[in-house]
Amino acid sequence: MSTVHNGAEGAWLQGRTEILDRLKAALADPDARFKVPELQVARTMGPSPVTDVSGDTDLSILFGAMLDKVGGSHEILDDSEAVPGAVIRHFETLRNARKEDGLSFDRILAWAPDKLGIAGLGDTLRQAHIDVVVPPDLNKVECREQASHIAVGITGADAAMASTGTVVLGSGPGRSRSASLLPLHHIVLVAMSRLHATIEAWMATLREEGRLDEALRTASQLSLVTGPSKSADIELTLTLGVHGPRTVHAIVYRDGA
Amino acid sequence: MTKAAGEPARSATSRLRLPGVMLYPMLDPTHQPAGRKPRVALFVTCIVDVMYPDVGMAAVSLLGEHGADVVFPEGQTCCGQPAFNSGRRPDARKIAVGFLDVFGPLVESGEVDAIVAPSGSCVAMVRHSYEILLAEARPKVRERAHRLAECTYELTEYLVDVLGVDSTDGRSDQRITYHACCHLLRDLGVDRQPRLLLEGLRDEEVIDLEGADECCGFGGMFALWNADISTEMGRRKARHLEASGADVVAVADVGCMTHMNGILTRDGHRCRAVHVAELLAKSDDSPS
Amino acid sequence: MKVDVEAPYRTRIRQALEDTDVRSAVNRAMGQLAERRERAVGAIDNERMRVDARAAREGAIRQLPNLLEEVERTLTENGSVVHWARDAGEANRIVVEIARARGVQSAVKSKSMVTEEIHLNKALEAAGIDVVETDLGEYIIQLADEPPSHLVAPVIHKRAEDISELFQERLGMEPSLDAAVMCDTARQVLRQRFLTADMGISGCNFAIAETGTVCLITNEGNGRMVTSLPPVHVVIAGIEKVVATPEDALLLWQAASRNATGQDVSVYFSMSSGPRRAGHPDGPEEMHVILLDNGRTRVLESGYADALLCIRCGACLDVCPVYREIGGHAYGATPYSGPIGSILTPLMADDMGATKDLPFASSLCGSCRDACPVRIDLPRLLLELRSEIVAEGQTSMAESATVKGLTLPMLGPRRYRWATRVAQRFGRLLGAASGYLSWLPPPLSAWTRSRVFPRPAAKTFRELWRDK
Repeated sequence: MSTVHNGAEGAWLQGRTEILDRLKAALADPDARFKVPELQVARTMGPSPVTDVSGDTDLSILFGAMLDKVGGSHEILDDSEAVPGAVIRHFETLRNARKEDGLSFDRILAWAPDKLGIAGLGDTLRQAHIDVVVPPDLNKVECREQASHIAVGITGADAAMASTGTVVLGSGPGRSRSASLLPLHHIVLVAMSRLHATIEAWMATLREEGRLDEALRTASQLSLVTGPSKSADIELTLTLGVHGPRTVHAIVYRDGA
Repeated sequence: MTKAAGEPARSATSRLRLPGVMLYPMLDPTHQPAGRKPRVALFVTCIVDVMYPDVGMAAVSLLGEHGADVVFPEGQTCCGQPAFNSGRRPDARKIAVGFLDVFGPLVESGEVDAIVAPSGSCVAMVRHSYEILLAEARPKVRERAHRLAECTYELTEYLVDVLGVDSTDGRSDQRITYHACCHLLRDLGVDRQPRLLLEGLRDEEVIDLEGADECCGFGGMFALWNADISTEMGRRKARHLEASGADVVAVADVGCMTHMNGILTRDGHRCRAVHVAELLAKSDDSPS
Repeated sequence: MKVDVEAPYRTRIRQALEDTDVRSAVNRAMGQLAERRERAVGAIDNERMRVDARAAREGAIRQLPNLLEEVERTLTENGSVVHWARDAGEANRIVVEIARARGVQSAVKSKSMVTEEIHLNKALEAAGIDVVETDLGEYIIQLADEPPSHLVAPVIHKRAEDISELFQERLGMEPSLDAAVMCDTARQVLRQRFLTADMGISGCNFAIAETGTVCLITNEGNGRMVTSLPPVHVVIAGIEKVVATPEDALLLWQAASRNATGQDVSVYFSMSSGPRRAGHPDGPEEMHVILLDNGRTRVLESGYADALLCIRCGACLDVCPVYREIGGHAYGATPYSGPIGSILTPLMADDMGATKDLPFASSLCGSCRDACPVRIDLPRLLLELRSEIVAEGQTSMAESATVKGLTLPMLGPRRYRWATRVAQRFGRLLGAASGYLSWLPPPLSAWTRSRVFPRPAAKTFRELWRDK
């Protein structure tokens, strides 16, 4: 653990005290600190949803449409048993269309099969001669070396939001961040029971179910991912796959839950 | 490199933008007492008085034609905007109090129902900035400022919203477009009114102006302190005017008008800016 | 002629206006950004989102000390180390100390205006640590050794040709104007740096007090890489970045996305609540969060807390008619340009005198106020700054004389009449038959350099009225 504080302890505490004291003194009369204060009363309600989804919308279809709009792709399956076949098909499409050298298409960087949530997926992949690589510790050089040349990654999704085409990926044991980050192509498995209408609806559910801490704090990193990586820095021209994946393919499936 | 491409085109029937209107008081346009003709005090504004008196006369003419009596209090000078925008609040305060002393008694006594000015920026000064400027003044001064803020109107705003005018007798055979002056558009939320009146000037529609709601670059003292930037902004406006094919661009603020004509003339463009009042007032010669 | 950000104001403006290539690039980019923004906010109830976003930000600033103490507690509970830095020097020292304690030799950074503000890269390099920017735009300007010129799109002033030349020269790229080829080159180079760096440094878009979470908005994925791959993650967060709840952060994320780039949401929103836990396959072993003041408390004390509401979306830059003509470097050696920069830069500076021209570099058109997702009344703040600068006697003699000359006559009807007669006489002396003056004496010559000026009328309105 770092020993930073010891050396600079005096100055660090001084800084903390000074900043907080000044702020507290200044905010004794908060209205006077603004040229145009607007908030007179403390808020009692949270913000309203930014996007609107009407009650009878098919969330899977909306999710797919929004993901497509930002350069992703999707398919919707009525039965979770069709998922392994769909994964293999998509993987082979990516392999057949490959243009770059130096990336392996004989393996897949993955969340642990039990975290992917599809029975038999690990076996099906192995039978199709696709090695399932679940990195144990990416701080080890060999592990990192191995992971960084894999072309396709596959994850589940903790949740998804239809109005924006977003998936929520929490990190944890068997759920590496790298699987959705390092490879050129990302396959994400989205269970319909985890699909929410909006970002606000998802957060409200987390709160209602008392899962906020587990989802956010324990996960150490929660990533909200909406489509493939993009940049528009060069003359505002859109380019995909600048650092993160160039393709994101969501397989939305009906699960038992 | 290519010229400014990718600029969004806007239609002439532009959306009425509600500015920080939530922060500012909305006027109740039904201010006139029943039983007599509306009577307004004309705030002619300093630039119109000295540089463009015909604009003032046109404003008087329009108000009279559409049922209002006009009084002109002679003690008036300026609203104080140049001083205020320059950060010279003590001077601006004195000028503002001068305005209140001249117009206040007329409004408070009921002798006039409203103050009307052919200038969006001056009206915005009275309606919005006086409250800021006079925040520390005596209660009576603040009350008077508040009272006057509630009944000070820009000309086209008053004609349409209070007098209920939807067209004037003005006629023009020139191709007209409209530039939305910033304070009028964003501070006062007035845009539909001048456009409505301009539509009545001839059978053809008012021409679309690309970037109609883009600042022309005048900005008051900005035009002197940052004359180079101001000019470049004005040249952009001139390019848009050229592209529109209009003979004339109607504006509601003579500051913008002076700046735009200054560049249009110097750079050899054909189009000229004309104040809406002059276009709308009945006239035998078309303005040049 | 490029803009020298260290040069005096007038020089910078002249350089900016003379650089037609940059002006063209900036103009086109701002037009596109403004258009995309308009479409994105037009598709929702923008006024409601602005009210909500304002409430979230103002509520946070009003509660700032409490929320800072809360976020310190929750971040610490999550396993991060929290530091407090009063100024740039302290912040840089802390980062260098962390680096030394871990034997850091190389660092990767995601885009962060606050790290530009404190000149972090220079401090790290002085300590022998190699730093590479990973946001594509920031990487490009790092290669070109230039400062960023826009809050959100730092390399907006460069054309594809410029970038291509740079990549050919510095990275050995094959000649190509294809953005995809250039991006791929950068991807390859930077991928190696991500995988081998000892430290990842990021800014912070929002710091959630309730859950001890640092949120990062990116589109490229470099934010996720920087916060996941290196063994140490250091966050520099301005103290104003704190928000109360995850709901607030998610709202402000959407507001920032729509206003900055016209997207419904950015591609990535990384919510980091601490270093990796036991059993996690990746993530940093150590996470440090440096809460930075560097003038923000002073902004609050000065009564300009409105400026601290800013969520750095850049919308005010995109709609500003002045920014569009002069670009970001004209605002000087500051990462904060445009309308918000004209307010923050003087307020956060040690010496407001050096930046006194900025609040006057505006025509007060109000477009920024209309665009701001947290409803900051930017023109109002500019006007307040102007009156302070004047009160402190910071304006030049020429400026004062001009304004006095134009405002003193307004103080009373007699002076006014006298000044009017002087103007009329003057006009008759100078004017040609055309009715226009092509020359006015200084300082009014600033007008006639590029514009004609009309002669005062033969009779004023007053005189015509009396004649009626």
